[in-house]
Amino acid sequence: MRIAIAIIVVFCARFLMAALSFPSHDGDIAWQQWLGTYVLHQHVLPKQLGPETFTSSGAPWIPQEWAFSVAVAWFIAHGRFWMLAALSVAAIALCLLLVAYRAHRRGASTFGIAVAVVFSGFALLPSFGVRAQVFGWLFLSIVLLLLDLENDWLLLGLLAIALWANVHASALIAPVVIGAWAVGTWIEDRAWTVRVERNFVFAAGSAVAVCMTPLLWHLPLYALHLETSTIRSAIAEWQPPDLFFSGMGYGLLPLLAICCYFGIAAPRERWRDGMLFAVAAIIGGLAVRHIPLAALILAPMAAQRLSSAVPVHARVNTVLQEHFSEMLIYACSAAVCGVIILTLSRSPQTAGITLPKTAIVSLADVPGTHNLYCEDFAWCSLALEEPNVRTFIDGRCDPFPPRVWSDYLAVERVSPAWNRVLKRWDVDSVLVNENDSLAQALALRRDWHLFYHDRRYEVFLRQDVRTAER
Amino acid sequence: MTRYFAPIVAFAVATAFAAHARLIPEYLVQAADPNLLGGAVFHAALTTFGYAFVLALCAVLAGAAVLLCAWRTRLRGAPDLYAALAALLAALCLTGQFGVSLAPIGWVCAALFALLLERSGRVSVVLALVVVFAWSLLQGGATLAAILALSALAGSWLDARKIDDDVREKALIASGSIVLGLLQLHALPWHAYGAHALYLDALLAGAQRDRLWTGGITVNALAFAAVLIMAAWYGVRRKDRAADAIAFFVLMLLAMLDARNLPYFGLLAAPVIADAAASYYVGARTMPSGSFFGYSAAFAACAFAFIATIISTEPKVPMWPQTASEPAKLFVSLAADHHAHRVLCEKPRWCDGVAAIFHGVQPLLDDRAGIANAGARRTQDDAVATQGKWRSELARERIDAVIAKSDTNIVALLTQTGWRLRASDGTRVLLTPEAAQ
Repeated sequence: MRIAIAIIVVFCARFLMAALSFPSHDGDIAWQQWLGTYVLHQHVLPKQLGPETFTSSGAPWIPQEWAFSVAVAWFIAHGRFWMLAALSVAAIALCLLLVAYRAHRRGASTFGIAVAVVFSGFALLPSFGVRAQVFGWLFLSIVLLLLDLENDWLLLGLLAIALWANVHASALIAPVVIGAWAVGTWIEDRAWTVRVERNFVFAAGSAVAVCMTPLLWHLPLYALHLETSTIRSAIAEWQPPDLFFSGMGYGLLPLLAICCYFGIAAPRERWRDGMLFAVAAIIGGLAVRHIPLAALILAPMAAQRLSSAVPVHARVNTVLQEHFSEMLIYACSAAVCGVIILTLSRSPQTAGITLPKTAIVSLADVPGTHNLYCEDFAWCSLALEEPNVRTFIDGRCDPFPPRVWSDYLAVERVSPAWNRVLKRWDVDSVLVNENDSLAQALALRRDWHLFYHDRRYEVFLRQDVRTAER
Repeated sequence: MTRYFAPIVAFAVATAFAAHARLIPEYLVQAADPNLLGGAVFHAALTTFGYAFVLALCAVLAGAAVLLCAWRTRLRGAPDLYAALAALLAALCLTGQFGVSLAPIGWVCAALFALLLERSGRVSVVLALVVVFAWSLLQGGATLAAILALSALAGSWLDARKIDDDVREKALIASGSIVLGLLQLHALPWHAYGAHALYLDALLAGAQRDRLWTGGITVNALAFAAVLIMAAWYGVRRKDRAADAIAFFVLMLLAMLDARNLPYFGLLAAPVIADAAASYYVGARTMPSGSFFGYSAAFAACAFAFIATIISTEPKVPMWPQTASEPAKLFVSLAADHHAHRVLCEKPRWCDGVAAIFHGVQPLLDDRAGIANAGARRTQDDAVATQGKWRSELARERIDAVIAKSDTNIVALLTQTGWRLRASDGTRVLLTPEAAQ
């Protein structure tokens, strides 16, 4: 376990640097702050989009990340965003610690635990941020631990699932995971035993627990809808994984390979693991955002099998447990942490600001109310706090109707109808990446002119702009 | 009773294949390849016996590959039920790739080669090399044969930790496979051709790749997951044969690199997994009884009956790309003016075989994009992404026709600057410069 902790510390250094620079690189924090502020002031969840968007005002909205948004707004309002960043890092550190602990409980060797932690860390890395889903990973880890423990504390997991559902809709995976586990125990016991009954009660309870939010049954319906929604094609986290995606190549794939090589379920004593593997193997191939979930499920199994397959005399544990080796690993861990912090604090990717904040502020300074189209919808989240800028689609993305998404994509992909779409929606300003296709197309049009540009972004305004009312 | 399960699965595969009676456009590129004898053989069969014969032949080859996969499971000592399980897993992996092309030749050769690799003795070595020779000549699959043989060699050595007869035999097959692969008289560099045979060239910018996961529940994704789940359930190392594990993981990676490799993964991994499963539940190992020639004769009789049935029911003429996924209508429209054209397809494989059908139309890239020259690939990549100096690159390559989806940026940007819509098939458009109208 101590070696695993040294590895987790290294990952935490990397996660911390990513978390601290997160608001400069991800537009989601902006709309979450806006939503959290709304909830804190109005003491009610918004049920529909408001006049901050000119395309979908009045569209029904399920603000599934409301609890996290409240936290974002509170921490930012008190000038303590760093605390939220630190909490996110603590959550992910706890996830990895729980992976190590679950592997340890299953009798994994020091080396097996270390391998599981390393691959889990890599699987979590690309999706990490100050995001609600990071806390969802922690709740999943807690549920998996309770399943492993198989004692009367199990039903406490319902509380964790209810909290999880209030933080992020990924809680909907809990009934699937617990149901698969319950079926596994049923097959193992070949009878309706006490533990089988307890697991099925837990599975049924988890299906109820996901409805214990202010959104009630609307949350599961929303999550199911999202799994088949057409908007997924426009969201990076919903893209299918690939071998070259780092979370897959360096994280989930090695865990899958270890499980496939050693075998985890046969003949009958570990059908629970087999059922969970099936769930992980299927969801892991559906979307990039499911890779961390799959890795957290598989890592302890991989560690256990890796350890049990290597004879005790052939293990490297004895070397790792020597005082000198331990000290060496701790020293290396500290040195790597230092290098990570030093390197990333100077790197433009983390130290710089990559969001078009200045561009949007410049547009807001132009008198009148503007209908803004952002080439990347997440940028428009920054405009939510500007009273005279209304968005086409912003980072809240899910509640915008399919018709609006279709028009958004028609412009984003510069389809032949792009200018007609902008005209139809009365868009008067467009924020684009410099030299992208849309920027090229706008530059060729006489009815648009370049209003703002910096090293990364350009804002085009329609000629003879007549501004709308917000 | 259970002994009929695997043949039933194989028959179902052949029937499903025949029912999915389409010509994969990639075949037209393969048929025009002077290095592949399979193309010439299929072409001769097509002109002599008709399309239905070629379709039925491909279906029989796919069924034979599944049967060989089951037979290999049986030869490892697993009972018939587990042989059927292997056949089922392999069939799942083939399902997404049904269609007339040279691929079924590769499938049957791969299944037979893997079977022979697990046998010992001089006869097996000679037969394995004969299979590689035929495979290499007909479909160009010597690269995969070499990979499988090298895996078997590494596995034998790891198991024995000394150079024994088995290691020597595997070394002989591996070196023979490599030499046969090198001896192919390709006009292209051998390494490029080898990469193309495994679809590794599809990774290059500008080339087109079939991804295993596309975001939904697809046949390919489900088949891959099924193999993975079965493997994880029972463990690839169950029989303590390192060659099994090496080949399994190499092919798993290849399938993840390009989904067109998934059938090979299924055919070669399924017996390993089914055998591992059998080892948990079955104590005594039994080898199949009956003569190989007897089985072969029974198979041949079934195959002839199957082909005869298909010939009498299926169309006699090939119907070149008629599926909705191919822009045939646009090519017909382009070729109607009887002028020479150089066309860029947004997806290179849309252009497969167009040069063979319309002699005046030359594609910038097609299925062989990975082995095309780097300049053409760069033009394709830049033009589709409308990045860099893509307009001057189009001019340099003398592109005077573009086929792309109607809602893509290249269509909007070209129509803004003098190109005109010449034809549309609903989802795609054909653009030509205004002067060429």
